Amino acid sequence: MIRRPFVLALALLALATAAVRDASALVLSFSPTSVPANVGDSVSVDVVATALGTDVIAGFDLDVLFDPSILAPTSVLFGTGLGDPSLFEALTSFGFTPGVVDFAEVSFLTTSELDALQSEPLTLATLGFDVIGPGLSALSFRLDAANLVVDGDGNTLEVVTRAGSVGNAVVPEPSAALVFAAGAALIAARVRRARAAA
Amino acid sequence: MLSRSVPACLAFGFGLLLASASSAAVSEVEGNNVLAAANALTPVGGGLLVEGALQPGDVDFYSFSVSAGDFVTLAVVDSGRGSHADPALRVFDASNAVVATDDDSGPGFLPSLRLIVPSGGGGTWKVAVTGFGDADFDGSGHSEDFDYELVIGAEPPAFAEPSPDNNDTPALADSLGSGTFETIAPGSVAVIEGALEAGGIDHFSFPVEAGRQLSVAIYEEGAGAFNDPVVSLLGPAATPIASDDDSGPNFLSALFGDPSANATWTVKVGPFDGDQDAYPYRLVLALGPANATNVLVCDANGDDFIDRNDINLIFAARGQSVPAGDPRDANADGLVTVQDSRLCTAECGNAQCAPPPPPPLAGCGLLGIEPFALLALVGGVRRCARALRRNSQEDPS
Repeated sequence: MIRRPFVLALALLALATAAVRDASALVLSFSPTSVPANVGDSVSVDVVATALGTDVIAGFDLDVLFDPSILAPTSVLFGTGLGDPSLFEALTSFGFTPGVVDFAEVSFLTTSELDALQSEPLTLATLGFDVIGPGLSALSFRLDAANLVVDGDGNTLEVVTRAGSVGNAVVPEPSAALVFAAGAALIAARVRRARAAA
Repeated sequence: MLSRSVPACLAFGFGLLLASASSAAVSEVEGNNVLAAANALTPVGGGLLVEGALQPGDVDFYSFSVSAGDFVTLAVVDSGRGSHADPALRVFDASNAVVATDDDSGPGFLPSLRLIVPSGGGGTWKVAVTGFGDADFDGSGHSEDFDYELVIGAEPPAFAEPSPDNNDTPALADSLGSGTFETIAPGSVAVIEGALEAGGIDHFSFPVEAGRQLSVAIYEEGAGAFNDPVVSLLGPAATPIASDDDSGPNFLSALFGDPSANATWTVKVGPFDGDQDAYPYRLVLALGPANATNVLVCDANGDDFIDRNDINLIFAARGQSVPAGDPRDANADGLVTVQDSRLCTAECGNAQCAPPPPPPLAGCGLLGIEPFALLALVGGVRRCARALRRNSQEDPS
């Protein structure tokens, strides 16, 4: 009886620790997380940063991966959280390769200026896609030595990423039919067995 | 170079190359405070160095001969590399009409100009060196007091692209050959005259040497205000090395390459995004001295001053693996990333990495478009900023 509250407390402590650890990492995600779309549609998805805590984002270089048989990227519009590029407050760049949207921005603003400019959720960029094929394309981030997020002092920020998706999940018609047929056969067999027993 | 940027930088680098040619140095002879009393310089050719001095109220005039089509480079160099001295340049054509004026297109507060002598514009040109504050170039209104070196180069292009051209693919590139580069200790420079045809692409190939940094910049008579070329570097077998759109003034391009082995490289000049504009241009290729080393971290363009131009170059080089000591690799991890860009913004000599370049006062401003009104406004703002900066330097409190 004494042990149970102790174990519970330990579990709660572990959960709290995990929560704190997660809270210390910047979260990159897509908004909306899932975008229903059909072939021929044009869609846009925001890349947003949350859980900034006391950090500011002063630069990022990100790759977003997608299924090139389903989506074709059309545009990248940068947010203003790192400054206005047209006012020479930031540099931006983007490019498309099959299955990858590469986009980057670095700010000339000071940490305090960025701090005043940034609030959550912080939209880093809005990605535009044309839906060119049926199915559901996952959207995910690729982070590595060259794809990273930095703070005002140029330090690399710890990042947790959340995936997203665009398109429509294909209904597995043949499998559904098989399951339906198997169920019907089972019911028919039971009915027959019941009649035979009667 | 590169900021006035890439152009200013390249010009300054070009100027430094010329400045090293001590055999072509002359000294100012005072009494040259008006146009009519300009010191006549011997043919300046590939480069002439003039050693002069400015005192408060002083303005120095020099005359030199140019021909139509010459590519004219002017730069003022001082021992402080523009940290404190603030000279200005004004160029006059054969009829004494103002061709261009520049204050700070070089490193720090130094001026730098590149000009193309237009058809029918040859003759005896003059250049005036004065101090900041002397808006009329009559010596009044400035209190600058320092020794300087004025670098002047005026030469026709080393290579003129045939017209119509037949160099639309790397395989058909016009071969420049090593002889195209004029050796100006400690480096080499070549100016190429070309013309983009509507929808066309130009290629020029030339030898590069391991360890000699290559600088490429393009100019056209509108100083990039209306035309938007894209310049790319291709290695052997047309392997892409680097590409740039707007690192030069306005829409002009400028980039650097670091050959790791002796090879033949190709410069590709094309329009931005399918533009159909046709216009002549000058391509400036400069090979740095052998075993050149850039020791100032973040100084990507090697002008000893860290500004927005350096950040542009570092940002454009994202993803490149670089050897140890590359100034673009601020964190020395062998890879240029956005982290290096951000780290270097903290090293910029001016707040927010210096303000953007003002409209082309100078540059290649031979279009006859002189936005005096805008320049007056910009000049006023800059003067205020500079006065504040100076006050803060002079009064530590």
